[in-house]
Amino acid sequence: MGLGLLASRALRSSRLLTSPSPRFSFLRPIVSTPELQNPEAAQAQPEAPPPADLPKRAPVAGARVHFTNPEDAIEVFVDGYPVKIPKGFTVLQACEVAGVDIPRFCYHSRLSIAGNCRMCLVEVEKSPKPVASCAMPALPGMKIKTDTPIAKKAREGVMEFLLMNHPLDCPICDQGGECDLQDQSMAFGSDRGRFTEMKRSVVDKNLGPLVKTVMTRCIQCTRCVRFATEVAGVQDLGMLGRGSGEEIGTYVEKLMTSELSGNVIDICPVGALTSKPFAFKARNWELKGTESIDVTDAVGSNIRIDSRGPEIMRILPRLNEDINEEWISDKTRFFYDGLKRQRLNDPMIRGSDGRFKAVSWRDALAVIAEVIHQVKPEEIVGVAGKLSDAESMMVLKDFLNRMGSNNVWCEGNGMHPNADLRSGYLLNSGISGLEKADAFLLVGTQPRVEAAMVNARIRKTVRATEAKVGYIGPPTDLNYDHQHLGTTTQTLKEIAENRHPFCSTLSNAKNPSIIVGAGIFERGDKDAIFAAIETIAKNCKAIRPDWNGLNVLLLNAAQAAALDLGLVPESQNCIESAKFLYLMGADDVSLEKLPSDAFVVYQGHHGDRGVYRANVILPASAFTEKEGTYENTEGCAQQTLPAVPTVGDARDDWKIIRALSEVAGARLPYDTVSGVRSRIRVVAPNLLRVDEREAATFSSSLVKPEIKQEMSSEPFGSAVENFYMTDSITRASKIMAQCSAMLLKK
Amino acid sequence: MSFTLRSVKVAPNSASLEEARIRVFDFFRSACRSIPTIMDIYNLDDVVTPSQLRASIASQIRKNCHITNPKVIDMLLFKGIEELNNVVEHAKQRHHIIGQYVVGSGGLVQDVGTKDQANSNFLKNFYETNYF
Amino acid sequence: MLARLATQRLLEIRQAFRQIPQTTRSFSTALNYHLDTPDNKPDLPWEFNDANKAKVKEILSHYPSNYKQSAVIPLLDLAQQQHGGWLPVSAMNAVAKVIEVAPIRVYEVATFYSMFNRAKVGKYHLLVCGTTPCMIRGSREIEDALLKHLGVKRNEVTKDGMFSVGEMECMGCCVNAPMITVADYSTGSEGYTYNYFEDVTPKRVVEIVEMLRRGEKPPRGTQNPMRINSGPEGGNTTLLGEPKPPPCRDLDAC
Repeated sequence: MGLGLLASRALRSSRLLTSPSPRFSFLRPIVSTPELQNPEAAQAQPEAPPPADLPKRAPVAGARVHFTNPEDAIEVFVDGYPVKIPKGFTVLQACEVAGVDIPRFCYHSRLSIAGNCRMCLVEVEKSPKPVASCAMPALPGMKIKTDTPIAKKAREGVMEFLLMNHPLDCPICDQGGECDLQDQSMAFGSDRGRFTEMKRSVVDKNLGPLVKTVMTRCIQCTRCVRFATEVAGVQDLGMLGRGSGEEIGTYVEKLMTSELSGNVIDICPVGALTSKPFAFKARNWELKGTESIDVTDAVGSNIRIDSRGPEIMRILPRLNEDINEEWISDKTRFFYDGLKRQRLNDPMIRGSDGRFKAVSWRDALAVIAEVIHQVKPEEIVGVAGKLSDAESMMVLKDFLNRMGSNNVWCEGNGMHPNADLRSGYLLNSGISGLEKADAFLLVGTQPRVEAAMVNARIRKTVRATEAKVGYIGPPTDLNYDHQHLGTTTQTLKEIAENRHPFCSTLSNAKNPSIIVGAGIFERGDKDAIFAAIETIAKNCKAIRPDWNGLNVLLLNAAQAAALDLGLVPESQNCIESAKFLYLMGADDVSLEKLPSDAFVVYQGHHGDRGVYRANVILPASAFTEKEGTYENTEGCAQQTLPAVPTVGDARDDWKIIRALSEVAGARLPYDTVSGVRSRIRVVAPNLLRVDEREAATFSSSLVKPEIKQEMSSEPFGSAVENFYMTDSITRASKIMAQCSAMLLKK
Repeated sequence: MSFTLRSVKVAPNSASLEEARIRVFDFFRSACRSIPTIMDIYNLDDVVTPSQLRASIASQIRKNCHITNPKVIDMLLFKGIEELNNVVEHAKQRHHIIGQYVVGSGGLVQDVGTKDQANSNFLKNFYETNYF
Repeated sequence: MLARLATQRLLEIRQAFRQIPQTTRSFSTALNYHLDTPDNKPDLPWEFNDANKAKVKEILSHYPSNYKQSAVIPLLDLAQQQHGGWLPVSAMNAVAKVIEVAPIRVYEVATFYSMFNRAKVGKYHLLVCGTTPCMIRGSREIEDALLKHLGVKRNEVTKDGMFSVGEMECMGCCVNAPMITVADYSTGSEGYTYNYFEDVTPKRVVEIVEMLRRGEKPPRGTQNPMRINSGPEGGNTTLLGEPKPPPCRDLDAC
């Protein structure tokens, strides 16, 4: 909520209210409180229905009111407007529905109610005092007044108290310009204060490499305490002391070791908790916001990339109720400095002395085209990286198919992925659908490091409904109570054969949810494991027409789209026989078995692992610099938008392959992104339905070949060793390196 | 600065198109006459020949050959004289001259050759920039 | 002349302002955050002794098993008595473990209440009431007398570890103001007492301190020999005879 918005709303509403009656409009500024002057007359007035010429008010931020039960609707009056709200709404929510934005500091819609800032005071008729609207349930027929002298005076007084101990250091504060306190003191505060004594000062706390604290600015709203306790699940922060000596802290010095800790920066209404990497870098009004998608994991969190000129300054979450709500993980928020380091800017060819030499695009493509014609078609192999967008993967597959090879896959999907049934690789119940589940079985997945937002969703469910969570895999801390059932496939077998105590929990559950980690894709006994899991799903009736509880949690942003586009290698050991390997941003492919005479092309944006073996490097643009489609783990296609220009002589991934195809004499028939997208429409039309979830049509239990495989006794590993460094961008990031050094310390 | 102002006098308006035409030719001649000085003070011998510079000046003038309003011609002429004075007085630097009159607005054209002839527009654009 | 006077006055005013303590008046014995010291570190072992373990069980039995955290205040009190009057971080951690909450939830409670001492106090912790009635009746002088006699500052422990002086809020003894409280931690949680000494004078508090030092038990309650509890000095002055019956109807007669 910006100041401008507030101010304009205040202006607009008053203008709209006064304009219909000219008599009133010139009277109003002079006699501001006719009711106070003549209270009897004001009371004697029959409660008039709102004049017909009053414009209809829209709820704040387009909020939708969802009535679970139509009988539960009650009617309250906000500034004379009748609004229908469900029972159990607070006065503040009722005002929001009525389109009145109530100032608040401690209230946050996703956290529990604290009611300690008192900024949301409103007047309620027949109530002797102003009431804190955030904590007051709305009652039928309540007459709420948000614009009366009493409410205004109350806010002004609260604001004066808040500013008593708040330093006036806005010019050096990083929150300046997007500070709730700043905005609201302009909108609701007084123009002077009466406080002449010394201000309180508080010792700053060390919360780690991500969150900078200036605790003197804290107004004790306890949003961060509640966030840490309720959402992040780390009970580190607390409110210490009492009275004027009250402060937020950890008491014993302790770093905040949550993977969601960056969100306290967003929820802090003042500049007490700000971003350490962003400190003193830019002002928020200098930044250009680009609405994009995060690609560091398979969740596809919606983000806003704030850039200044060619530089990304910070990343903020965007609201998306179905994916990330309004949180993002620390990796998403802070990896951006990796986009400025170790970038590839020029096409390069490895000379005979083993050193790379910068060449022009013309020469680089000519060399590749020459080599690709010298090898046999089946010796051509292409691997898409974990950050690839659907367009470039489509073009890569088309190109290699034209060259006669069908050995193309996406890293992380394993050498024999099951791309036949979409339900076999998607989070079928959806991320928000996980909230309906009442029992979880996590197999070989640690959502906390693999997909922090999914973990937050599971934690929310566990907190709300006390759902039981069973976990098979190496011992780990998931941030919520879970039963560690075992580490090997043995436990899985026991559950499948109904011999395990957890089976009763699963079968008693109404909506059991089984979440399988994508780390299993790399295992040799993948099919057997999936067969066992399907048996479990059948036993506990997890797959029904109204509920599909068999979920696969993917690791990388590219995986789902790659499988949708059919990036499946023809032969399982094509790497061993490859003579020409095209790595499109693939850094985590094991190249040990690659013949030493193979020609490797690395197309990507970072000089990471893939570059060491490359013969030719083609610089590509990162996801912040191009328009690309990504499908997240629940099958929702989303698009990134270019926020900054490309670095050096880099080109978009699909353009490079399109140009190479022409140089190699197998010209692909599209010249524009929309051309590529119409090609995608033929293969996987769901990728073009942006922001829609296309559910898997067939359930995986319908058609299945016989599985003759046996599960090996090898224990489940952890798919992500270091949460902060999973791909080429995050590995190049200094902040992520600091995080892994300080926060992963055991 | 004052020196520049003194040397550039605003001539009275041309009475007719013919008079303006004559003035342009005079200007071209004086520009051509100052070319050797310019070559000298900006040390342009190794990048350009006098005839190339002359052609460049001529083309700048021809760019406006469609103008028939004597007043506009006078105005452009004034700007031209001013520019010439600046150049002759060494009020510019070498790269200004090279950028404006030697390389021209076409930029440094490198890949001129016959090898791109068979390529599609896509590839031609691709070699140049990522944004097309 | 006038200017000089004005400057002097200004200087005086500034001086007066400077003397106002810059820190907020805090009744707590320690800071709101923890600093490691040799005797107060999270990794020092701490647990309830055997006698107190039974008490812990007894305290926990007062609360429903799913609301164990309600026992935090009695348990912290017990831990404080056991640890000689103050709560090291490890004791708070031990309490957190007993009531199964995150340690920070216990720290929050312990920092909130000024009666939980998070820094070392003397065996006899003398608390001087500083609230208005006591202050009017001379609590400042009493505190000064104590501090001067013991040669310490507020919240500082004497060299022999016997005494420390602190301030607290109203203890409800205003009728016998001024008063001090002596928290006696010298014998652990068994002999723990928390006695009020009321109607004290600067002379009397020094006597009390000396008696405590000698191991005697000064009489608690009012120190004014002319008063009995909160009664008026020199005996009752009112309600001397049999009280008259209430001037209302005799209800029994109906």
